[in-house]
Amino acid sequence: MKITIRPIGPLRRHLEGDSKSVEVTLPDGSTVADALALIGIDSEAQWNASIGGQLVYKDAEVSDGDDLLVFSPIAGG
Amino acid sequence: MSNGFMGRTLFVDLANGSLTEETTDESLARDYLGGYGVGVKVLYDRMKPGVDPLGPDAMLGFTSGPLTGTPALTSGRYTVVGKSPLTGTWGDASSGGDFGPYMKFAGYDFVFFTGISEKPVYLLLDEGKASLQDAEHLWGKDTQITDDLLRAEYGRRHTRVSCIGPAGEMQSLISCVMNDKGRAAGRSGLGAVMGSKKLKAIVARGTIKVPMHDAKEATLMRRRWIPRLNEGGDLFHEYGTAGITEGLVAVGDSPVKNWGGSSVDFPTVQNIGGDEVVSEQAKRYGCWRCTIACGGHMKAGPGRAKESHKPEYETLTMAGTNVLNDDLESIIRFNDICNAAGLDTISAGSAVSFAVESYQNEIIGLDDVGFELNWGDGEAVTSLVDLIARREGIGEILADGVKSAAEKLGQGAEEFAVHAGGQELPAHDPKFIPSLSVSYRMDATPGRHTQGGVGWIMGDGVMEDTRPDKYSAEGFGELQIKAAAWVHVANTTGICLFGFNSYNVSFVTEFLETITGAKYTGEELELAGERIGTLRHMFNLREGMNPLEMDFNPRALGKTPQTEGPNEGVTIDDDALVSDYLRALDWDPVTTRPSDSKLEALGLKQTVGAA
Ligand code: SF4
Repeated sequence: MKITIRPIGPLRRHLEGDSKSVEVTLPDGSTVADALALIGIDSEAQWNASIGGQLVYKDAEVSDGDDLLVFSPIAGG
Repeated sequence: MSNGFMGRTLFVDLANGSLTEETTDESLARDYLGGYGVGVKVLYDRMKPGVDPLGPDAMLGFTSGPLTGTPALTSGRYTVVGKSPLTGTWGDASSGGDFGPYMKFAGYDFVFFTGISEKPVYLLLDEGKASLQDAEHLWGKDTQITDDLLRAEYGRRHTRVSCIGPAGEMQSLISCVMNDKGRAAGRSGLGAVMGSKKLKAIVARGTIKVPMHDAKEATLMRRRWIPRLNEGGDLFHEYGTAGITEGLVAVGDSPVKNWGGSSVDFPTVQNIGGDEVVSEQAKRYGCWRCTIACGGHMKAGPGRAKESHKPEYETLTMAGTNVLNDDLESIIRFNDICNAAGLDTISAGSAVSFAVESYQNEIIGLDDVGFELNWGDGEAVTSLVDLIARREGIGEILADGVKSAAEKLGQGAEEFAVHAGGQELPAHDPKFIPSLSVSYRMDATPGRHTQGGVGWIMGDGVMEDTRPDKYSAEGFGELQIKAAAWVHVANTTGICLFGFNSYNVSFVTEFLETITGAKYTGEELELAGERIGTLRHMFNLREGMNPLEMDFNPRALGKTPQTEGPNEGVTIDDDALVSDYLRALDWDPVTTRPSDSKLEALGLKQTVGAA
């Protein structure tokens, strides 16, 4: 299956060049942590992720076509 | 006088035009740090309880901190203080930009006003001299024109202006005090207090240096600290607070559909996310010597202000997610209108979402508004805020905030008025950050996101919340006291809360020592923070305001739990959190009065007497 990973802010350093998202291919049954590992985001590091506006945790399974947003835990504003 | 301070405090009686100077009280500055710390001590001592906040006996203060305008990181803040006409409680509102430092360069730490002027005036602080000037020609002008005219008159380079716009002149209770054309002391409705006094502006012109214990070391220290920005600071540098919108909507921190919806209702948040906002930015800017530089000027465009500022997260949510509006251009215009009129964008946005929901529920109709109010209609958002800014039509009712509007409209409209004690809630949801259910109620300025909270603004390195469950009251109180105390320290010394979160908090102590020469331990600062918070609370008790009796819209607490989205099923047990906080504070569980021994420990016994 294919999903899109969209890091926000400084986490974009895990992408190449100026791109804002990346499409990755994963075997069925893969998790959020598996997907993020593909672009070098460690599952032990501090981040939040969401799919379709819903917060997801590292062990959640991803599905074909998902748009996975990932961002640092943030406060302020 | 202590280093870090200019040594002069000005008292202005607008009724008779008299100006009286006092030497800034050294022990006061040490015990209350500066800013609203000194502000609350002065108002507690000198302003009678029960005064009309818009009447002649009300005092209004402009206060700086010992670090304001020094090499300390993010030290551009000043704070306006008074009794809030919106909530009837203690009111304060802080702002960045350059004005705070220039108030000091003009020679003054604190300026307090009382009385009402017969004619519009402005206060000129000019290289150590103060005078009142006629402001008839400025009355009615927006904040940007006012700023331009005054800086043209006194020379742009060394002059900065803090002023009100037409909203403050018309005493809109959600009006703010503006400086540097795009920076707002937004909350508590203090623009209306300034308007009631017929005080249009303060002009600060000066080049006087802030006296420092070790100026050279302060500069070196600054150079050592600047590169030590954490990841949150990087994000703010790149986007400003606009960079957090998408993430916070996803996690359930941002209000959606007047707090009744969730991220599920607003799948197009990307359209108002950080990348889109920054793509409209012409240039980044910072407050006084701030290298995070989270502010931005927007590109020129039809319908935009001559100097259009980048909308903050709060504005993008209150005029965006909370009305299901993904039309970025309309939010930029909303922000421009608020800045020019001198309206708080949080409260104005809340008034808009309140009106849309009231319209959808037929409490108000087409005849009242003049156009349709539908969710997601950006055009309606800007048209409505324009009416609020001018107090015209339905805007007349909305210009005094949602609590007052709901009372006037009746028919159950209070359900849609999302406020705590009259202050429209900011865009951080207690269902996601439970400690805010306590901060919004228990801080002396209700409904504020800038007064600390566990798991919220705690300062980088102050403490960790290691409790396994963020919703649990166990062990909560002590952490909340610490979080609030440190935020008071940052706010009152003149440090920006974004800086406070973006560097290890030890920078505050280090700069404070180097600049003032006074040694503070962490415990002493924490105690000062608690002292300040407690005296603000005593101010409210003296006004007869017990926070436990305050209205707090149950939506924000999930009293009827949401059925979808990140906060699905969440109900905050705010009673339990508040009880634990009161226990830890040693405040009475019913009256909220601090125990005598607590007042003694904080050195407040004499100030509050038997109050
Ligand atoms: S971080 Fe932003 S708001 Fe704070 S001082 Fe810097 S530019 Fe101003």
